[in-house]
Amino acid sequence: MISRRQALVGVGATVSALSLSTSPVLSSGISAGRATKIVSVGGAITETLFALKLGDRIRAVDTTSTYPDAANALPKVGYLRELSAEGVLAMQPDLVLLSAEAGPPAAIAQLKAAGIPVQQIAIGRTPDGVRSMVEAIGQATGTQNSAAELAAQIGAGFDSLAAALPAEQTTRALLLLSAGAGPLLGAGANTAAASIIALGGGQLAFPEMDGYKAVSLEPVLAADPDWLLFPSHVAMALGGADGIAALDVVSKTRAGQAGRVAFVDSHYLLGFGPRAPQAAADLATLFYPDITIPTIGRDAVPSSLLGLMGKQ
Amino acid sequence: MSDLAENDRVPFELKEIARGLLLPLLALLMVGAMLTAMTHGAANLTVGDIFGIFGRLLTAAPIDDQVAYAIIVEIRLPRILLGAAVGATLAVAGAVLQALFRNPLAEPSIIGVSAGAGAAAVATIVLGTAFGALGSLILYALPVAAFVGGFVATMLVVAIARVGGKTPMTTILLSGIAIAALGSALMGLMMFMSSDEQLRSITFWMLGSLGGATWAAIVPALLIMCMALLLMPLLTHRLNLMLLGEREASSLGLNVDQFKYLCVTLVAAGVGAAVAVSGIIGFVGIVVPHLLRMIVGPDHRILLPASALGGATLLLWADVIARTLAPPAELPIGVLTALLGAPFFLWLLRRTAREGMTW
Amino acid sequence: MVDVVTGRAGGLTAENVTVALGGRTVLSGVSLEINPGELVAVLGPNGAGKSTFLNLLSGEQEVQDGNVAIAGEPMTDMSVKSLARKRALMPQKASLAFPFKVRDVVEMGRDPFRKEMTTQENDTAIDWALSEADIGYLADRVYTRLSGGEQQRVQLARVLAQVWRPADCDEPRYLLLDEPTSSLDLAHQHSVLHVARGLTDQKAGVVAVVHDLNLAALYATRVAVLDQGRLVATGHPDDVLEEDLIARVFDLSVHTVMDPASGRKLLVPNGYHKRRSNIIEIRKAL
Repeated sequence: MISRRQALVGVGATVSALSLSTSPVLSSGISAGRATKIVSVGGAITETLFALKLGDRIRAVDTTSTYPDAANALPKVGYLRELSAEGVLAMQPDLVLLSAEAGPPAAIAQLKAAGIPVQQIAIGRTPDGVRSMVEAIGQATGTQNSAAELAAQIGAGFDSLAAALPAEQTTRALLLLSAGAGPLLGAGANTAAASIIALGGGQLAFPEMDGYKAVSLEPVLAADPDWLLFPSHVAMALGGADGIAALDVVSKTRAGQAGRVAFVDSHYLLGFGPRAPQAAADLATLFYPDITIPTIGRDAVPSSLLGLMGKQ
Repeated sequence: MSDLAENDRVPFELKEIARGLLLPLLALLMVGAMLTAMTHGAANLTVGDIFGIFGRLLTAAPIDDQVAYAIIVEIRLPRILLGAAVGATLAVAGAVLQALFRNPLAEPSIIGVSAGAGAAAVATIVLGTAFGALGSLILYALPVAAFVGGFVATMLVVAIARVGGKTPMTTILLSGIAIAALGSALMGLMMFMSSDEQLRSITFWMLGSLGGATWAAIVPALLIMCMALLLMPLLTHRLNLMLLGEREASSLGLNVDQFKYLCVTLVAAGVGAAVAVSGIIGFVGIVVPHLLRMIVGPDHRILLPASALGGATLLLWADVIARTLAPPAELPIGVLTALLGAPFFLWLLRRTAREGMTW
Repeated sequence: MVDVVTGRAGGLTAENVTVALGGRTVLSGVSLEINPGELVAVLGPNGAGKSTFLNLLSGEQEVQDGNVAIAGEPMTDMSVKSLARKRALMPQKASLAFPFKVRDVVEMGRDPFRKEMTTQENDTAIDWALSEADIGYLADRVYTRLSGGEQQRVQLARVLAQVWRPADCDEPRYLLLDEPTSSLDLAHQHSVLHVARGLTDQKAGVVAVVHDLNLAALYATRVAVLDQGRLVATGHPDDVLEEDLIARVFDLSVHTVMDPASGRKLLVPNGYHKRRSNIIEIRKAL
């Protein structure tokens, strides 16, 4: 028999745990100061931490954190959108930085209920958005100064790119995903692809389409994009360069036949991390080969375009 | 007569005494599964850690290891309770439906519960963001929608099947198929309209998972499931009568139509609650009762409690494996229940076929 | 006869009942009363409406026209539960396909009394039923493994268990048997009806649909003959089962013989002889 005191304690613990878990807050507002065991969930966040020279303070990352190489070597806590709360907690973190896209909500709630500092960072798909993200991370880790510097560099990068773009931006690009078996999905408005293409001076092949929607050959032919873009993980799933070349949308469209098909590292292109300006610049280089696009990035890292089909 | 008597005397594996021990044995297995589930997971906690936390809880001592506490009390404990409740409910629901339909292939999804819950859940995921600041409310909106959807779908199935005051089981079956098809179509439509992100959420939800087990989420579901399970004793004798045949059951004083409605409502409520919090977990509802019936016989006085315990045990074990096979990722539990249940079922089937039993 | 429980008069009564199924009139204006102490055999050729009549008496068939009552209480006023305590029905074909133990099947016959009577009383009922149906030795066997005849005797035991009452109980009850002898061997055909007849000594009334006229003659206290939905004769078997009636209703020519050993009237068929005209032949002739 449990004594009344024990029962009350049990109830009390449950109620307090419940109340903790039922107050969802985007940012826990707890400043973690000198956190040294950070779990970073989200490729852009991890990249930013490394760019801020905080790599050695990261304890574990998620599976979308693939850059830089050091991140690959870190222990993993699962996929961005399907985290296991226990997996994260097993790392004994003193700060958890989560991309706003992290999930599932139940796992996030469990993390918050565990009483460790959890901060959700919004991922912005605009120059200002990227800078805000960097600054938020700086705030969370107590490195506001370095963050401000990095943010300024990123801003400058975007500015110089914008200045170099031609007045008339008429190149139309279509980014394609594969959803496993079934038709290819094309990127429409309100997607990460739309934002980066726009920053690179391009336009969407399907601007009226919202989100990712299945596209068959016919609408693609009608839209006649100038460039076809494939994220690297999709390219691998479709069988590499040969597989891509065999696709209808490649072999039968003007862009495909002219070889204007590019595979780009998925996280680099769509992650909107610190390398975002460079990624946009890479696209601009493809879209407007006659214009000089500045190389952006502190280390002038060569572009991560994985492959370029044809005689471009 | 004596030739037959030898291999025909109650062809179940156990003798009378052993049968008396069966339920306690199953209970023990379930407790064992709970303990295993409590001590295994992505995080490495020793049994000492666990007893330490419980000890401090009970003696109101301060808890210094916040993370261990969170893992044990916030994550594993609700998950175990949910797993046991869902497993028990699905298995009992399967047993009840198999008796009503007098068919071993019956299981909860044929009365439309899963289709309705699925359609409602998918709609919530896809349309939810359209309602602006649903944000973290999705934690509650989703289970509620799934439960309501499952319940409404089942009531619709029964209402359609009811002709002139009577509700024949075959008509319920056909009606269930129709509603399930409708549900699937709605789900397909929603999935077409969904974003990449939403599609992923939908897929994971449909594969089933006990990962959403926070206290806030499971308490209402647990209440409903426990209520449905506690009403089991009411059903046992009457389910036996139903196996005699509806005519015979009626002549023995059972109001057959009323009883069907009662059973279907309990199944809808219980399974609806289970699906609401843990997604669609297959196999438990069809294999566990069938398997146990082969071992303990058709008498529901033993079969229902045995199914509850067996279902809980199976699901708990499946969840342990789901969590520890490829940490920290969690495998979808529906895959595991199939992987665990199917081979065992096939073995038992072959064994009893050899002995001449069909059911 | 006055029902000691309700104080009302009357046994199991059908008053002027008419039933139409699927557009066809199956029963037309049939009236019959069965009292405890009687074994009434309902006879008739196929399609005469015997099963429908039995279903009417058991409450399974809805009363369309007329009245069916037990001790004056109309069946439409009775709950399923109370009806189960007044009568038991053994259907022609049992549909149990599950491996219950024989004893468990018979135990289900006591379900209407599960709460009303003690476990001891219910066990006594089951034991009595098992022995009356001569399946005591099968009690631990699995129902689905038995032969057709054995299974039928198990069903009989079940309904016997349902009508069992403690010795001091005065409540009238009724046993309805729909062709109870169909799968049984000769010995058991007789033993079933012998058991049923024995029940009549215990304040029970039995209604049995049988095909074998001699069996009916041997065990029934009264016979009721249905032909094309009408009750054409009712009374003592010796009085009703006459050569003319049998030829007219059953289309069979018989002659009666007095059995010197038992003093009973036996019916011996003369062979098949077509008495009713074949409609097709008439058409051809026209």
